[in-house]
Amino acid sequence: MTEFAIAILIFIAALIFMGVKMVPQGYNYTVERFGRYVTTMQPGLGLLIPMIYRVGRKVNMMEQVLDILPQQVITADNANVNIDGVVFYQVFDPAKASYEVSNLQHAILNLIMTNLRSVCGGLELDHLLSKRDEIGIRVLTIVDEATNAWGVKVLRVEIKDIEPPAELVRAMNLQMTAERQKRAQITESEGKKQAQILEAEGMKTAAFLRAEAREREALAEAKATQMVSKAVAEGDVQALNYFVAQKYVEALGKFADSNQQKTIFMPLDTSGLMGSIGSINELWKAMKDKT
Amino acid sequence: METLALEFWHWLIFGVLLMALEIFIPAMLVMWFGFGAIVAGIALWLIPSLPLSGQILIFALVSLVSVFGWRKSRFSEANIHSDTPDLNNRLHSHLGKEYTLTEAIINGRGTMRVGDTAWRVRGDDLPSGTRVRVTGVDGVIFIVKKA
Repeated sequence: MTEFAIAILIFIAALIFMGVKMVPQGYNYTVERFGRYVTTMQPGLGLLIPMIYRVGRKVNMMEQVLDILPQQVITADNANVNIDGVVFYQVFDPAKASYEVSNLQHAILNLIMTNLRSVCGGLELDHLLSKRDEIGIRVLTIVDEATNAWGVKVLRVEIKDIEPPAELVRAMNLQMTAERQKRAQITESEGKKQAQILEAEGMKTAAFLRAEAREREALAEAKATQMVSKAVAEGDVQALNYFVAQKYVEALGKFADSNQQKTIFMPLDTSGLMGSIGSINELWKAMKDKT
Repeated sequence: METLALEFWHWLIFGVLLMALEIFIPAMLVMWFGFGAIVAGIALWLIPSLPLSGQILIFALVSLVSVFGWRKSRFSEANIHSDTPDLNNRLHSHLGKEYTLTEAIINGRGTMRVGDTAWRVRGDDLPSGTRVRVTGVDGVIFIVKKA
């Protein structure tokens, strides 16, 4: 009786050990009844009858990352480029992911790689280098169609590195340098041109201004003369004489100022000076006459 | 086999040890035997004349029943509310939300942008740029209606 009880115990122990399944968060287990899929176990404690039901696949429901190993692609303009990246995908339908495709990761990776090749083959190198995100999105939309059938969603395709061959990189650098030099030269000559234009403009303005000044001077002169002649016409010729005499005396004064000279040269006709003094005399007289 | 004379507290000790072991093996496997052992111990304490085979049978059967009892009890997953019911179930977290179509729905299939990726959608034909509301999920395809 005890032996039988122990046998029962062993049987029940086996039942419990095989039938109680704890599914951890982030996983779903598919359940097969005699090898045929029936249902999916959600995270938590699950029970199944061990002889009939069996856990089929343990499907990771978390977002997963796959590395796209560096591979050679040929661009539309026939450049050989090494390209690598990462794929993020997530299983949304554990049953499909388990039974619609065998070796899911391998399938996804190959799908991505071939599509990456075809997308890159349709682009020129410059475009490829500058539009990485666009490549990712284009690959994603193509791949999405295929992976839908597997209950999988490719969430992101990121291009990590695009590596053109070394000689091509050298050529690109040369091109870049040349481009910059060209720009520098152009800038320099632009500067020179600007400077010359500015200089010419300055000269032109100066000439204008000088001419204007001369004109102004002439005008002023004319006006002064006019005023003087007006004054003369209205008044007395003697007024003129007064001015002339003043200048004469001033000039004389300058001669007298120079201290190294004891003698004064008179390079002007003394008679004129005398005349001017005479004219002052005349003025005096006139003034006296008036008073 | 009657040489093995078990006292009731042997069962109790065994049960408590199994419970303790369960703490270290987070797989919910030996806890049931812990229940069984404790119940067997209590039975032996109540009925001291219980034969060993009876004790073992009680131990085995109660272990099995406790599993189902657990399922029915309020400790079962079905009755425990999780903080994040949508964890690892990203699709359902989008239900009822509104997004914009990036590709027109033609023949019932199109694309919309959610976050930083494109999702396939199903629904009535609509031009791209339309705001749509997620009404359901089919595999990895959203079912949408015009918002």
